[in-house]
Amino acid sequence: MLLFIEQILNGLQLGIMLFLMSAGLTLIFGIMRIINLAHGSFYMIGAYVAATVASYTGSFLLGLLAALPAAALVGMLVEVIVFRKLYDREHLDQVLATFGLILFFNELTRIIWGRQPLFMDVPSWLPGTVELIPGAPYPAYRLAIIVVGIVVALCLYLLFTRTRLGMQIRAGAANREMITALGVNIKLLNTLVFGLGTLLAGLAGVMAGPILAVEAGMGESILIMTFVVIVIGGIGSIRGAMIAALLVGLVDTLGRFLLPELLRLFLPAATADGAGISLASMSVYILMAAILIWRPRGLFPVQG
Amino acid sequence: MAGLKSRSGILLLLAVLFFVLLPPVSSLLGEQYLISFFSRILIYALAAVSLDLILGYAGMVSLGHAAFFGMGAYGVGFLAFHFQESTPFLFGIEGTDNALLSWPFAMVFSATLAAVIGALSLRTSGVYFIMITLAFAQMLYYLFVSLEAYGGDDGLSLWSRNTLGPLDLSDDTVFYYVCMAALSAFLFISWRLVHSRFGQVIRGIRENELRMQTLGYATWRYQLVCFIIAGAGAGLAGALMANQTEFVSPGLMHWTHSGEILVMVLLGGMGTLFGPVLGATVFLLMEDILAAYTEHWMVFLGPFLIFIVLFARRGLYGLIVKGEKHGD
Amino acid sequence: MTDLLLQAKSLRKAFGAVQATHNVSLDIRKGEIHALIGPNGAGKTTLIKQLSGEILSDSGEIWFKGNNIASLPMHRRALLGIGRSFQITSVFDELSVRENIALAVQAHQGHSFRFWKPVNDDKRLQQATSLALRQCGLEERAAEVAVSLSHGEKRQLDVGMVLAGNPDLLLLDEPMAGMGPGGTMKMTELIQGLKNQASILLIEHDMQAVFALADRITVLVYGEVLVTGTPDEIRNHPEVQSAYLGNRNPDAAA
Repeated sequence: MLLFIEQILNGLQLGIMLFLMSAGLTLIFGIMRIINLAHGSFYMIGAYVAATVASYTGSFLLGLLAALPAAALVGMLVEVIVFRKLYDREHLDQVLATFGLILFFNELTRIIWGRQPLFMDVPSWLPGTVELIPGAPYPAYRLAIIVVGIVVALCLYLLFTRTRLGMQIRAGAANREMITALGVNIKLLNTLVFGLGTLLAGLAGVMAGPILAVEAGMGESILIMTFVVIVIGGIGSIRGAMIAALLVGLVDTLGRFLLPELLRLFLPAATADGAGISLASMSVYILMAAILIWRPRGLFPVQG
Repeated sequence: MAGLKSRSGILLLLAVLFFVLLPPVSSLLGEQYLISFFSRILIYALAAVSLDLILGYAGMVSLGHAAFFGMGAYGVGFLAFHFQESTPFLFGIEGTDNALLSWPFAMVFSATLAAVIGALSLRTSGVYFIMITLAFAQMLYYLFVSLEAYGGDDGLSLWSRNTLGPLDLSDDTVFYYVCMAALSAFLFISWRLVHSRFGQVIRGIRENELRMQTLGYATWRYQLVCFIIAGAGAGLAGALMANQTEFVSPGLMHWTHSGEILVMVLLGGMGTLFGPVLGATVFLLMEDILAAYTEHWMVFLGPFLIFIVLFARRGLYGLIVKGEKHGD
Repeated sequence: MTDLLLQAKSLRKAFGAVQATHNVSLDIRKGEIHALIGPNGAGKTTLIKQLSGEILSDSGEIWFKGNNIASLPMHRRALLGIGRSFQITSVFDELSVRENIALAVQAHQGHSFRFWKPVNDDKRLQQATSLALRQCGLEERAAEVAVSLSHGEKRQLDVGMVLAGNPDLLLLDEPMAGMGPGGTMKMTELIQGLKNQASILLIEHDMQAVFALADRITVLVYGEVLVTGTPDEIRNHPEVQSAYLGNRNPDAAA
C-alpha cells in the first residue's frame, strides 16, 4: 500500500514536469500556430546551465537563478532569428527547421560540455526524505517538485485570468487575426510568450537535473511525452495540459508498477515481467490512441 | 516524362549510368568499400522515395516513417533469429533466411502497421497528425527496446545475409544490384501510381482536402492507402538494410532517424520521386565526407537545414530542373 | 409536394454558447433558383455548410431525393447530387485547368483506386472531361495551370468543376464576390442558363442579381428564418425592409 502511494507521488511528480513542458509548448502552439520540435532543447539548456553554475558555486539555487533567464533569453533570441520567418510557413517547414535546431543545439552541447553526462546534486538545504505518512519516507526533492509545479500552475492561472498580458495571450490563442486588429503589438507578444514557454521548459530541465542524467539529447525523450500530453489535452489549452499531464504521469508510472504485477496473475513470472514492461512502455500511447478515437481534437480543444 | 532531351531526362540518364557503372569502376579503382557504401545509399533512397509519396504527393507530414523502416528490418530479423535458433516464430511460423519469404513478410509487416497507425492518425490533421505519427513511432521504439528476447537496445545480429534464389547476396556486388533493382522497381511503381487516377486524387487532397470532399471523394480512404503503400516501401528498404548490415536495432525506428530521411527528401526535392534519390546520395556523401573532418559535423547540418528550408525549398532537383513542369 | 428537391426541417446548430442556426426550415423546389439573403453573421454560410455536410447539424432533418441525409458525410452527399461552390475560389492551383475538371469528373466515375493506367491515356475520363470543359467555356485554357488564370476565369473553373458532376442541387456561396459589373453580368447569365440543369440555392449580397435571378427568396436573420417568399413579397415585406434592405427600393442604384 505504501509502495502504491509512493508510486502515485512519483506519477504526480512526472506529471508536473510534463505540465511545465507542455504548458509552454501548447501556449506557443496555441498563439503562434507553430510546431516547435526544439522545445526539448530549452529543457536541456536549463539543465546544463544549472548543473554548470551549481557545480562552480556549490549552490542549487544559484544554478536555478542562472538557468531560468538563460533559457528564456536563448528562447527569445531563437524566436527573433528563426521563428519569425516561420510563422507563415507550412507545418512541414516548421518541423524541418526546428529539427535543424535540435541537431544544432545537441551538437553544440557536446562541443561545449563533452559527451559525458553532468551530475547535479539535490539542494543541500532540503531534508533527504520527508515522512508524509508516518513510516513512509518519501524523497523531499520530489515533493518539492510537486510543490513548485502547483505554485507555477497557480501563477499561470493568475497571469491568464487577472492580468492584461494574460488576457491578450488568451485572446491571441483563440483568434489570432482579431488580436492584431485590436492593435496589440503581436511581434512583441509572440516573443514574450515564446520566452515564457522556454522559461518553463528550462525550469523543468533544472528540476530534472538531479533526478535524470544531464546529457545531449535529454530533451527529446521528454518531448515525445510532451506531445502526447498536448494531443490528449487539446492544443492551446493550459487546463488541458494540466489534466493531461497528470493523467499521463500517473498512467506511465503506475503502469510500470502495476502491469507486471497484474500479468503475473495470468502468466508465468518471467513472461509476465517482460510483457508487463513492454506494455507499460506503450501505455501512454495506447491511452492517447483511445482518447483520440473518442475526441480527435483532445479533451479541451481551443476553438479557432 | 518530359523526354530524354530535357534536363530531368539527362539527369535521370546520368544517374542510371552512374549507379550501373559504380561497381565495376570501383573494383577497377580498387575502392571496393564504395560498393557497400552506395548500397546503403540505394537503400536510403528507397526509404526516401517511399516517404516522398506521402510527403511530397499526399502532403502528409509524418515523423514516424522510420518506424516502418525499422519494422521491415525487424521482420527479416525475427525470421532470421528463429531460423538461427531453430525455434518457431509466432503462430507456428518457422524462421527462415530465404529472402523470397522474409522480404515479402517484412513488407506485409510494415504495411499492416502502417494501416493501423494510419487509421488512427488520419482521424486528425495538421499538427495533431504530425505529433501523433511521431508518438506512435516512438512507442514502437520503446517497445522494441523492451523486447529483451530479441536483443532489446543492443539489437539483433544476423549470421549471414538472406538467400535470394540462385543469387549470392553475401557478394557485395550482387547485393548492390539487387538493391538497385528494388529501388528501380519501386520507382517505376510509384511513377505509375502518381500518374494514375489514384495519384491525381492524392494530389488533389494535398492541395485542398475540403474541395475534394465536396467533389465526392472519401479522402480519408485514399490517404490511408497511400500511407500503407509508403509503409510497404519503407519496409522493403528496412529488409534490405537488415541484410546490408546483418544487424537490426531499435535505433532504426527512432524518430530522429525519421528526421534524417525527411531531410533527404527535402534536400533532394519533394514531390519529384527522383529528387529523394539525389537527396539520399548527397546527404550520405556529405555525412561521410564531413565526418572525416570533424566529429561535430552535425553542428553545421542544423543551420544548413534551416537555410534550405528558408531559402532553397525546392531542393536540389528543383534547382537543377528549374522551369520544367512540376510533377514529372 | 413531389416537386420538392430538398427539404430541411428544424435545423439547429450551436457553437458553444452561440446558436448559429435556430430551428431553420427551408425547402427547394425542382428547377427553382432559391436565394438566401440576410445581414452578415446571420448564419447563411453555416446553413450551407450543414446542407453540404461540412458541418453536422445538432438536430433536424434534411430530406433530399427521398432520403434523410442529415448524418451523411460530405462526399456521400456530393455523390448523391449536391454540388457546392465556395465563397473564396478554391480550384487546385498547381494543376492544369483540364486536370481540375478531370478530378471533378473522375469522382463520378466510380472509385479511384486505380493505380496503373496513366490518367492522360484514360479515354473514358478524358472524353467526359473535354465535354465538361466545353460546357464551362474554358476549352482554350485547358493546358494552363490554374494559378495563372484571371480571377473571373478561376470563378468559371470553380463553377465548371461543380457542374462537371451533374448535380441536381447547386449550393452557390456568393458567386459574384469580388467581381466587377462585367463579371457579375456573365455570372448572372451563367446561373440563369443553369436553370434547366439543376436547382440552385444561392447566397448573395448583390441585391440586383438576387432580385433578377431568384424565383423565391429566404431571409435569414440571427440564425432564424424571417420569411420565405417571391421577390415581390420580399421586396414589400416591412420587416425585411427594415432589417436588411434599409427601407430602400432595391431596384434603385445600390
